[in-house]
Amino acid sequence: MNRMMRRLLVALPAAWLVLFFGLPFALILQVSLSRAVIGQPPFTPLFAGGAFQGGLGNFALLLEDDLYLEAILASLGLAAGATGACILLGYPMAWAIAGAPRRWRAPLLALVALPFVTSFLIRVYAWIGLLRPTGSLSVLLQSLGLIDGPLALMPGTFAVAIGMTYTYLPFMVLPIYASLEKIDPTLASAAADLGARPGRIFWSVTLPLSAPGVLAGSLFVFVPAVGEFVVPELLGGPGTPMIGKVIWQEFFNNRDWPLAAALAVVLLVLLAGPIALAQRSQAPTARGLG
Amino acid sequence: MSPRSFRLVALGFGFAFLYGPILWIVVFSFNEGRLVTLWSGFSTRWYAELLRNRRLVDAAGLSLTIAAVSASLATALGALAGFALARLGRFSGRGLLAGALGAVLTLPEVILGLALLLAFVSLDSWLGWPGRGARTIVAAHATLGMAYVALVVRARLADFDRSLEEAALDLGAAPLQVFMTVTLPLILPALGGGWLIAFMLSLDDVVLASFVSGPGATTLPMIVFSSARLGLNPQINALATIMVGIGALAVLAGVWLVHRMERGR
Amino acid sequence: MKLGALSVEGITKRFGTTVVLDDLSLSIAAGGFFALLGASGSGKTTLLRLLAGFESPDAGRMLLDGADLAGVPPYERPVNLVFQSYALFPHMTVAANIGFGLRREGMAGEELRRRVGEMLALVRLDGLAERKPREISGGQAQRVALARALAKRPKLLLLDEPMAALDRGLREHTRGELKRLHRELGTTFVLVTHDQEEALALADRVALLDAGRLAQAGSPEDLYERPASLAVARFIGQLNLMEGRVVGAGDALTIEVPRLGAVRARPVASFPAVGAAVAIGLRPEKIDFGAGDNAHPAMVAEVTYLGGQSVYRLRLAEGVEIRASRPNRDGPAARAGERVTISWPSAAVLVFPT
Repeated sequence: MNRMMRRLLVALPAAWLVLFFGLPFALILQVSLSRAVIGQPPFTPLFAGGAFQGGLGNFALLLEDDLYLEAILASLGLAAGATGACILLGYPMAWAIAGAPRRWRAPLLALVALPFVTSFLIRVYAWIGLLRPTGSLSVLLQSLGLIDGPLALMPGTFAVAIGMTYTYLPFMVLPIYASLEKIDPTLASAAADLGARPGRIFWSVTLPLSAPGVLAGSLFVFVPAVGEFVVPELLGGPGTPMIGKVIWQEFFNNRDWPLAAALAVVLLVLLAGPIALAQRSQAPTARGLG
Repeated sequence: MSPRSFRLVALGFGFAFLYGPILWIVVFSFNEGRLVTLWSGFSTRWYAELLRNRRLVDAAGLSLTIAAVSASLATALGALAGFALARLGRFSGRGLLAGALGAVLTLPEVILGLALLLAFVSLDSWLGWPGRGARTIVAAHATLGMAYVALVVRARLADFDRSLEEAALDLGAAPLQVFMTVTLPLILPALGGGWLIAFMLSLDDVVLASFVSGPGATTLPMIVFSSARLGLNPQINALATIMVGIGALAVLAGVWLVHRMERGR
Repeated sequence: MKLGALSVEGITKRFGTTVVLDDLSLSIAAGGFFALLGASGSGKTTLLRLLAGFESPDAGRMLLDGADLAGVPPYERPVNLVFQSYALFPHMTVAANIGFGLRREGMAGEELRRRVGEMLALVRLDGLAERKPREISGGQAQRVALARALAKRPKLLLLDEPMAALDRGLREHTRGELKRLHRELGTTFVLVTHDQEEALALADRVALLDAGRLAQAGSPEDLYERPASLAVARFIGQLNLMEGRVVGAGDALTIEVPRLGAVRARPVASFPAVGAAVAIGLRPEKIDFGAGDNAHPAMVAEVTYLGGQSVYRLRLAEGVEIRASRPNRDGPAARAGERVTISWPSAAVLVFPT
């Protein structure tokens, strides 16, 4: 391929990303250093009259008010909880699919991925109807006589955890399945031949060899869950100030763009490590999805 | 418990969890009463009301247009990026390109939305373009979609034997002909799949759209979201059921098409 | 005049700091069946890729019928390649695969169909035209790959380990087919292989590559009977190796082997001087049971029965063992534990300087 064509091939997507990815992130950094004003745009310029006008005031504000620190901790905690729940629920599913007869595996995997075809928003919406005190779950359990009063799961942290587990479960099942499927089945036979019982085979052979899949799945769940906005907004209510929600409120309700930008920078720094790790485990998963 | 029955329980529980809520939506969309959670009889009245809701119908039209345009843009850009990453070997900026695409894929939407809005506002104040509305939503969705398309295309290219392209060269096809006769047909399913993913992402997105949209452009997810914030609404159940139905049909059509292509040729 | 004479002159190819081909020169006669033999990493595949045009050399040139191939892209070279993986286009039928190169030349319609039909008949695959590559067997896929490469009537046909993916029974048959095609078409065939048996069986000339250099080029018999170096002798066929010192030169070479005694060999062109340390090699099938030149008493340590022949592990002296092989015409020549006398003609002794 000649040099001109190669350049053109790279230049188009690169130019797009500079404009709609590079520039935006440079601007987030810039705005996080400026102050909020009433006007359009609602922040001060970084340079005025040839002098640097920026400062770390927004970041100082984040440290002063406990609300922000709590939101960050709550987000990390909830994301970790949802990740754990996804492992507990997703690992057995992936294991069951990997152990199913060959002709069943593709349809079962498709069933795991299929909820993605329906709107994410709609699936979260469904849980409102199921979880709220007058919701179907509560009504069902009451009519069965299992509980006396209405079941108040929503709004609250628990509902958010369920909602996130629900929406991110396929992200966990697919990479774990991909790693389980790669394990040579003769390894388990060899372990059995050497005297290992099924439980021992699982702990000593299957689980360690599928650990990369668990790690990849955990990152794919954890990273987006930390910054999740829709689920806590719809299922969480005012008691669960997750960081994604706080950024949204600062931006839309308080119109404090610089503070929202500063929060976004903090979130970015927090997630930089996990994101970098997740990138390394992306390619095999894409193949699993294809 | 035997491994076999454990497997069945794991799958049964998992699928019940995944599909229960969707089933709930479908069932209660046919509920007669306004109270969405209490069954009071079969009716299709919410479907009729949905179709009379001009705001919803208009928003659906806008959303479909935005999804189609942004998915096509995303497919073109993502295919180029995926091809460059898989086939051009080392070039300057390769790591940056791969890193940026990966970051778009994993970053929380709230951050991406905020960052994109700041960029659009600044571009607008420098150039008087692009304003805020459907155009900016398309750009935002195309950026997100291209990352997915690039991932799928790259994986597909990495999977198929490089010697196929060399064989075509060897048999007298010039590089452009190699691309048209061998590479493109082989990555076509990936491109189709990538387009579909980008289309669905766009049709589903509320966060990016809320950040970058202007007063004129309200997409369907934005309406669904604001009404869901207020609580349950049987019209939303009806709308959701229609979307589930369309999604299921699309999947069936896709499966049938792939099947037919494999059989037919 | 036959076409397809290839001359490789001083080719050097590096990947990074690794020298894969080091000042390699070869000439291949028009219409010949030439084998490039070597272990993995010997550079044979790189040479093939240079000939096909997928890589370009760092130094040297390649001439096909006198025309320099430098700068000619793969799609303009009158050279076609049968890939090791076959590289059949999975989205095209067998017929479309075979016709692919012809369509690139602008052939179409009835002419194209006729030519594809001819090629299918040539490789005896009539009736499979409309199948997809995944619907045919490995052996059939290999023949499609052959037909596809031959359809363009190349001056030079390159075959990259063509039998590697075939099972044993099919290999024998495919060898016969390749020989037939070569005879019928008269095209120059260049075969790349790591399998010496394949190279000896198919080619009329063989080049052995070792670490990017040419170890020896010649007829299969040259390489086996008159190896140019110890490396060549060890790579091709079985070899008993002993070390010794030249003690007498004249009409015959006398070599003193520790613990065994004198071994007589035919004088060689590069005559080692008296006192020189040498390695001597002896092919197992050259050893006779019974008296003769170079006779030694031996104890049969082990007999391995292989059907058509048996292999004998013979102890000649403390720490000196050699292997002999004999066809089982009237049953095994000796049993384990038996004491025998063995001998070998001095002409069978290969002498190499060390």
